[in-house]
Amino acid sequence: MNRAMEISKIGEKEAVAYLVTIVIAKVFLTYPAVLVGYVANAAWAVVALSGLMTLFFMYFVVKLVVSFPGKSFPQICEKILGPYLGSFVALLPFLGWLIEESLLMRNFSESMLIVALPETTLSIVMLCFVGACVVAVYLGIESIARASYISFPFTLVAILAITLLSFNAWKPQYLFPLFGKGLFPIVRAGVIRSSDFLELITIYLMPFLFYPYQVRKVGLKAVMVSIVIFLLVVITYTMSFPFPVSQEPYLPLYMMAKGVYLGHFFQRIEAIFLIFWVFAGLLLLSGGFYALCIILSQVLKLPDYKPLILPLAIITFALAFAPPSLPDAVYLSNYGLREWAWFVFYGIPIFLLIVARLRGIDGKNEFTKKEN
Amino acid sequence: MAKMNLLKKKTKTFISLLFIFTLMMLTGCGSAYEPNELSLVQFVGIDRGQENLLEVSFLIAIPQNLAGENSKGGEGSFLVTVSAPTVFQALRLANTFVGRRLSFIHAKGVIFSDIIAKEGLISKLLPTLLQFRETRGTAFVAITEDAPAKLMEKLVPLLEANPSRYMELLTQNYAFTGFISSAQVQDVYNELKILGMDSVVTLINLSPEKLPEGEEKGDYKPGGIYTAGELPKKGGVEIEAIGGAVLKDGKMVATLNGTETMIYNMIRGEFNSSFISLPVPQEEKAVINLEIFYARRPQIKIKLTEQGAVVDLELRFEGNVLGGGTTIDYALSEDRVILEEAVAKSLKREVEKLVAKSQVLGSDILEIGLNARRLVKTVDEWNNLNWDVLFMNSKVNVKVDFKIRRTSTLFKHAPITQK
Amino acid sequence: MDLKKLVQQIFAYQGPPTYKAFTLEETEREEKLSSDGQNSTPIEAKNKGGEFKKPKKPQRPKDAQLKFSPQKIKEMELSSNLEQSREFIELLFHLPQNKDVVIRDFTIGSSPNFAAFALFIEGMIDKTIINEHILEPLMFSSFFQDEKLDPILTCKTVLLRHIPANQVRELSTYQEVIEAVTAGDSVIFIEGSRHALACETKGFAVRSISTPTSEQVVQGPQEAFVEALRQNTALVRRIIHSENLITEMLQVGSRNKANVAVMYLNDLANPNLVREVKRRISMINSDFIADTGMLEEFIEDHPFSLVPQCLKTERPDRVAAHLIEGRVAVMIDGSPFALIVPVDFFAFLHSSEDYYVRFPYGFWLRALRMVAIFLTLLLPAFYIAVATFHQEMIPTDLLLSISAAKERVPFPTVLEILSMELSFELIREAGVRVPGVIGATLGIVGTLILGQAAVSAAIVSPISIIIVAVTGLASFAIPNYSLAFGFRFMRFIFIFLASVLGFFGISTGLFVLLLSLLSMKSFGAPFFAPVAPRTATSTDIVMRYPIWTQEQRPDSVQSLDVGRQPKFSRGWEKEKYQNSSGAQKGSEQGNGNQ
Repeated sequence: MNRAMEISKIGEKEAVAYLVTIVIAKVFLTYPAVLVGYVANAAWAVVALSGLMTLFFMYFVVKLVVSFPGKSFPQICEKILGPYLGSFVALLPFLGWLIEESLLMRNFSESMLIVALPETTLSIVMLCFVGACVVAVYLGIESIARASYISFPFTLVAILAITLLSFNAWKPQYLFPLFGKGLFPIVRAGVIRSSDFLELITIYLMPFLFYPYQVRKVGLKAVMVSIVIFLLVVITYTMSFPFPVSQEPYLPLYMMAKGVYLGHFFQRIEAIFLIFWVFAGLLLLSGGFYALCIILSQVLKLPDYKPLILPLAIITFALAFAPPSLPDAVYLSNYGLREWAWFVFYGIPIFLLIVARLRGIDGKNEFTKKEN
Repeated sequence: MAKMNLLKKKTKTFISLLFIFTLMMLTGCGSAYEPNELSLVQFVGIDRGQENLLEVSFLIAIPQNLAGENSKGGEGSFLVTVSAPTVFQALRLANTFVGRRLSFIHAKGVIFSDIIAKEGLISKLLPTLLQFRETRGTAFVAITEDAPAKLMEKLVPLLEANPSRYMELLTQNYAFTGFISSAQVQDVYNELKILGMDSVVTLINLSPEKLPEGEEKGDYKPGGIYTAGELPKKGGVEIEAIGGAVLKDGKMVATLNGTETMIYNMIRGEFNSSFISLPVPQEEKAVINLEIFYARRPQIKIKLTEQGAVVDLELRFEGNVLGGGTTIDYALSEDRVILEEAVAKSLKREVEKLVAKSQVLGSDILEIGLNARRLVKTVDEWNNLNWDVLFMNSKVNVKVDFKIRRTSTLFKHAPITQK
Repeated sequence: MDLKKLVQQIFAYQGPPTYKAFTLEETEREEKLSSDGQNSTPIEAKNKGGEFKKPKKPQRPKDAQLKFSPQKIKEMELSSNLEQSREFIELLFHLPQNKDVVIRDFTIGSSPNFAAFALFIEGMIDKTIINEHILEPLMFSSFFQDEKLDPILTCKTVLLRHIPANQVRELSTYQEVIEAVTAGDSVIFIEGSRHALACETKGFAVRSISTPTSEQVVQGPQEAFVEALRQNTALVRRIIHSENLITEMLQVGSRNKANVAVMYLNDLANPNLVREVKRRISMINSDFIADTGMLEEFIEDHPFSLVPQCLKTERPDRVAAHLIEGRVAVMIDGSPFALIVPVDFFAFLHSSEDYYVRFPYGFWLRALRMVAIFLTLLLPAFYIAVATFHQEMIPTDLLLSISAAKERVPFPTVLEILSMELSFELIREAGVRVPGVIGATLGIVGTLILGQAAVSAAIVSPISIIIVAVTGLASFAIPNYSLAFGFRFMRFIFIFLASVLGFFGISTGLFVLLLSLLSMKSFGAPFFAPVAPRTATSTDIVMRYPIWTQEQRPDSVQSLDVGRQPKFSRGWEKEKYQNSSGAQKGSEQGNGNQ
């Protein structure tokens, strides 16, 4: 069996913390403002709806993983679709994620420039991100997952602090009109934005990480916790900034943090939160980076993923510079990619399951012997 | 041996990395500035300049005089004024004669001249300011009817060393006076951009430093009828911050006096407490003082009828009798009810006056439109509602309730013996 | 320097990892619980060919008259010929020159008389024992008069009947003789016997047990290990009265042959762990190991890490507490410190005192320590980042006074902090090395440098002195010396990062630091164990909760018995709740005394 698959598994709590961290890391970027852009004040409804959609898709993701225990994603693809089509399908999420990863890297680096380092060259910041990611991927997913487990409470506290400390800016009236731009946009955005939970496809991209009997619980918990955090952020955000204003900023949470005013001593503390942003960002980036390396190594049937780290890092780094400007990067990431990504990424497991059913392939029988 | 060589190589690498790091450290990768390489702008004043230019003034702190053991106790700050097409241009132009890099990171206030405000330039300048990374969204906004540069020149605090501390405290006094608005840059910005909300920003003017002269005995006037520049006072810092300037879509359309600003704060829910005075209903020429608080947050309910919008405005206060030139005991007597009613009535009158004023101006400073957003379900419906017109023609029912809860320190007020 | 090669070395792929890392596998009971436990494969010794050549030994002048080289003699059995034995002994111990080694010839008072000699090293032995309990009975005792000694059985008989010393054993090779004599035993050779007798006569001067110097507590045991190994093991045994407490002896150092004791509780410590510890120690190839610190370097998992992975302690009570958790203690003769393995990161933040004071106070101590860690690691970096990158965070008045204070200081903030940190480190190092007599001078100089003088000379600003002083204080509050060392070193890295990239640099550094800590292992147990990976443990990790809630041993050590005390450990309270619930279920009582 593949060497990469001998990696130890991560327990339930770490898995949930890891998945939630990589999902919610985007609240530090443009995410809340993007939602507001779709439906104005009803952003919370989009979160709820897209969360429900994700739960629906998650059913198939988990089903795919559970019905082919002990197999990697490319192996599942190849088993169901044959070697050529299988490899092609297995490379689809890889390519999509490669682009998203580079866009995320660009966005996170640019956010550092906005928040703290206005006169630093972008490439230096990005080099730091890439460097830290490379180190993290070398150390392995176990360490990344553990780090997210340790940093999760801190990230959570940081988000809570930003959202709750801005209480003097809250005006519940800003939540009205309750249905924003109307029901149809909400439903449309709710479906499209289920790709905001896209990072959860880690579950089927790297199924070997999880204990099979925990996958269902892990997926469910991760979605639920992410929904709660998204809701918290989006609701407090729309309460602090009225509609046309709330779709403006690049970094909504930064704007909220900037508005914190607790007397003479406690103002403009946004830089402190930067530590947690960087942590969440690095975890997301290195986790995604690891996924890239693993999938590619499995598709290419390499015994080890480590030789791929450096080339992929360079590719990501180069791709990150592709968007000519920050607005372009934000647009590509939030509208260009994510609007269709849900269809492809959640569609793959459904497609695989259907084909497997049609061809009568059952992954379990073969592997029951090996399990025990 | 090979191991040794590797180690040696590593050590070499380490040392060279250390060297590179040290170099980088000293340059700080571009974004680093030593605290004493910056000059902190404390306030920005923006005035209409000659032709198409702005006259931008910066009050810059002098750290050595403000802090530190060698503080000479001299002027804590100095003023520079630059004529430039934009604020940011002025900022860089000022650095042609100020050595240290000027920075907005600690700018605690923006002061516009009324000329700018009346031209509606605030709607252009303020968003620009806020988009800049260094600007504090929590900086206060004020309008002055004098030149901002002149006003800032007079900002020489007596109690505080630091003008910015002084202004920060002064602009927060709304919490217990109610005479000024609490508007910050980000609030005004929000209100510029959304329908159904307009701002009132604090009015700061130079003080004439004159007390009324002459023999004539004046009538009772409530304390809050002044706007900045009218207050009969003498001494202290030669400025006054009382009253507010009403903005409509970023354009200054009127001023409010102290009382009106207090009522404005009360309706917007930003009121905390204040002292009010009014003539004693039962006794002539006597004045009673009360401290007033919210009993409940203001309730604004809006209905859409065929005649237009009907607004139910309900305010409930409670108070503390501070005393005054009267011996009437308000603790347990029936007089308490009479006083309560009188206060409620006078407040109601003021509220109605302010509502009428804002309707005439067509500036929804009372956030009634904000509450009206509950009436609609979607943004499109809201835009079709044409709230501006609806507001100007709406019927506003005011209900004010006032209850006395305490009488300061005295349970009973024994009459003054008359000999 | 070839940068490309360097980058290649750091980043590029250098083939799949060929080594087999040691991992503490789940115990059998747990394997059943979790479905995916992997079978542990037996640990194979690394088969490494000798890569580098040994330097050629200088040729020793051969002793012409002797047929036997010392090396050969060592491997030989003892002979029954006393003369020859003596010759060999003299050769082995370089006798005429070596004045420490004493050979005492005597005759055993039996009939017929046997010639004999005793061999010992002056200074290592107790003279009274030799005189009264060995020589006297053998020479003068009348027991021998009636007996006829069989030359072959002499030794046995003498051992069994005639030497009233407490530890006597028979030796049969010269190697054994050397080991016994150099360890302080006296060896008796008897004519006609193929064995020699080693009598326990150790009697060298040792330091008496005194109070701990690096791990002091206010309330709690006040004794520390000394340099004598046996006394140290006895100190532990005095705390754990258990027949399952095992002390195994190994030897390290091909020249100094130091005794190493491996202590563990047979019924708690995972046998795989004990085997691994012994394997690592026995496979050390070095000629001189004198202290646990040196030993530590030879057996730890990550020698380049800034964080220690073995807990070094001089407190017997601490060793006992860890043994009871199923860990293994390693002591070496001549060092008053014991090593405890495997150990998790949090053990370095604990002090024995935490357990000896009541829970609320212990809790407070721990909380304080956590603050200290963050201060010592990050405070200077934080200050630099805030003062040069994020000035908007500082309250205006404070920023103004920082700026005013720096007015006459020509250096950038980083340099100020670095120079102050450096002088602090110097004072610290000098304080340890300076002879006690002139120690007081150091304090004066230190206060002068780190005090008013530096400020009034406008070399540093007062606030950086405050920062450095607080950081210094905080670093003293970390209970473990090695960890404090590591953190002090890391502090400088963070200062670099902060001065280059502000908070972004700090957080990137923290990320890499955290990840590297998380990927570490200490003797196969994950280093951040009870937290990440999350394993079952008692409530004593970062904070210390009441001692009666600590029901489990840390799972990461894979001890053989997880339960420590039942749910209801305050047994006397049971009567109160007798009706409410059968709270008796759960784990059995741990074997060790608590």
